[in-house]
Amino acid sequence: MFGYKNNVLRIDLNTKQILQEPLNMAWAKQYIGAKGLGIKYLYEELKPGTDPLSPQNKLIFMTAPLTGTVVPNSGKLAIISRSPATGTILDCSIGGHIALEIKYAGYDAIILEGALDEPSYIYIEDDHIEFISAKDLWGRGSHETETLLLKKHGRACKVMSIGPAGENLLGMSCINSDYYRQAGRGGIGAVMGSKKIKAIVVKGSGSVKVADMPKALFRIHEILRQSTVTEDNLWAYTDGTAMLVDMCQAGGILPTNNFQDGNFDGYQLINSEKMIEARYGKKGCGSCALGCGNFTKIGDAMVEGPEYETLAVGGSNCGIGDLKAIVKFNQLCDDLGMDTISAGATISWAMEMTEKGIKDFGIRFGDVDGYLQMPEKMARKIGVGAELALGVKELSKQYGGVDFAMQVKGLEFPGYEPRGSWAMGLAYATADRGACHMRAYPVADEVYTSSVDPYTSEGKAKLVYDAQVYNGVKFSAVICDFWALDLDTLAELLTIVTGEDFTASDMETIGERVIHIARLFNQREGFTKKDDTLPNRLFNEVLKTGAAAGKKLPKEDFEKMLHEYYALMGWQPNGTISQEKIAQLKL
Amino acid sequence: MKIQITLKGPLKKYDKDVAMQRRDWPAGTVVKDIVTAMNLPGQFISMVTVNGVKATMEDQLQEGDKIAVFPYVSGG
Repeated sequence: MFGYKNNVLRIDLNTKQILQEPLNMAWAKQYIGAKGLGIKYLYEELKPGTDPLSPQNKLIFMTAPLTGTVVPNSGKLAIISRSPATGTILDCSIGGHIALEIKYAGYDAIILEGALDEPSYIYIEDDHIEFISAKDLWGRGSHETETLLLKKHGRACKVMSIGPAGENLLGMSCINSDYYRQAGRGGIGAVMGSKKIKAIVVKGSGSVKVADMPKALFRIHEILRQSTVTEDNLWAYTDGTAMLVDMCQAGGILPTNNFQDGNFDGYQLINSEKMIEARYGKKGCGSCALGCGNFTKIGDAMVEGPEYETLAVGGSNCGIGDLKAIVKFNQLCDDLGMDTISAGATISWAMEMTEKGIKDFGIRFGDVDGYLQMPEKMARKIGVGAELALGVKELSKQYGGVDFAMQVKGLEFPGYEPRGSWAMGLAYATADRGACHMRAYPVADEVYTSSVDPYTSEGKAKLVYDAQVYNGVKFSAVICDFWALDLDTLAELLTIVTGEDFTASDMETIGERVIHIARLFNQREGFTKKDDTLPNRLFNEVLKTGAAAGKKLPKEDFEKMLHEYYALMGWQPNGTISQEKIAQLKL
Repeated sequence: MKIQITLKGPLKKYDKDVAMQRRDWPAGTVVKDIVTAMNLPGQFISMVTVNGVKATMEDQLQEGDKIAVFPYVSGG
């Protein structure tokens, strides 16, 4: 098939042996690329029960057939491993330009196995692969690391790196690229840190062959006008995700003080109007037609973002109504290589524990100074930061506060309060990597458009199922989340690029297959129905104020949604996948 | 009565008429009246808030209200 390089770079870090092998095209036809194909590789290659931070775990960087082509918004790279935060499958998506460069260097995927003895970085220039000591980079922030590597190897290179959080094996560490882009969740940076890889520098001189280039150019110009750069999608360019602050506040789902409420009085201090006042510049990823990157600068604080998740979980959820402080927090987390969602959620949990007198972590809601000291303390495991580095699941096991430890399977909640968006609760409970907003996003229907009632379990299983199938194939093709293209268009683009005939129906089958291979991975690692659940706060406590005041998510409604979701998936009532389903999907 | 109108995202391009912000709206004006007067494309509106609270097209407005109109969004 066109679009692929039919080449995988496999590096055994124990022996520094470098192999190039053909991509498994049978799997590529079934899973396309990126998320789906990466998970398939890991599922087939990883021994069950592998410690995520052991040399035996693998780190897979997977592109897709659309990567590096003229298809817009296709510049995302999937990074796949077993998560040190959750023990589940972990696939993260990172923007910037690194995915394109890997393809231009001649690879569909890079697979790292084993571990080095000494900190190093890997330099890849087409067929030339080199291990270079990173002793002088170890301990440095991601931003400085990227600057030093670009200075040494030239600005034509693209860099992925980890910060101190990844080196210190935090379950909330990420991998950075283009300074401000992150593969953010589940501790993917710690897997790279456990392998003593500080960075990967890539420079490619090749290109990607497309099956029908004239048609590609013609149709893509049409699609850009009709479906991409349109009223539906340009919000990402003009306002960015910060616009969601007002929308979630209006819906009563803006997390406030560790999800004690969904209504933040200071929301107008951290919304998109404030962000636009402080806008410093714009940026887009490779191949992007939308350009959602918004630089914000307030005094000495500057970052690309903050995105909604940071404004919510690292802002209102910590009682912080100070945009400059959130920009600084975001800047610190990015440089330290730490996920702002899990970091913010852990700090907010510690604030509630302190205020309730259960355990004094020395930090309270709205304490800007304490809040800004935490990222460094956590990433470098200094003082109380060494404890907070564990994340809320482990901390609540030690100190209590389990009922308000806002996590699923060990992954902390993103910025949407499920008591005001019941399907979002189901989406968190069933997402493959724990509480995640990127697998299904029903808040758009329940809260923004109000096309469905947010406070009912009726029809919610189907809403989440459809979105998960859609995202399963979209993140495998790979197309950015911000382009809401339909499956007919996705199938057409894949047909034009690969030369294979794809239909919308094929897209649905592939999406379903991707969900199932991820579920099979988790099932093999011992995850069951008991893990598809939510913190008790959501079942037992009502929201106090705001548009969703008086609402909780009744346990029986949650169980009903979960039961219906399993039935739609064709899973057994205990959430396991039957052999018939495995055979039907040719897993 | 005076109403403060904020258009979000790509809807901003419909905010060409400064006079609209200075306009005196008659008593009894509802959200839909403003959407119609500004020629806002209904198919691109996902949410309207009045003073930060989610509103419907039929909600009646009061002197000094702040109305915000949001486009559809995907992802997060």
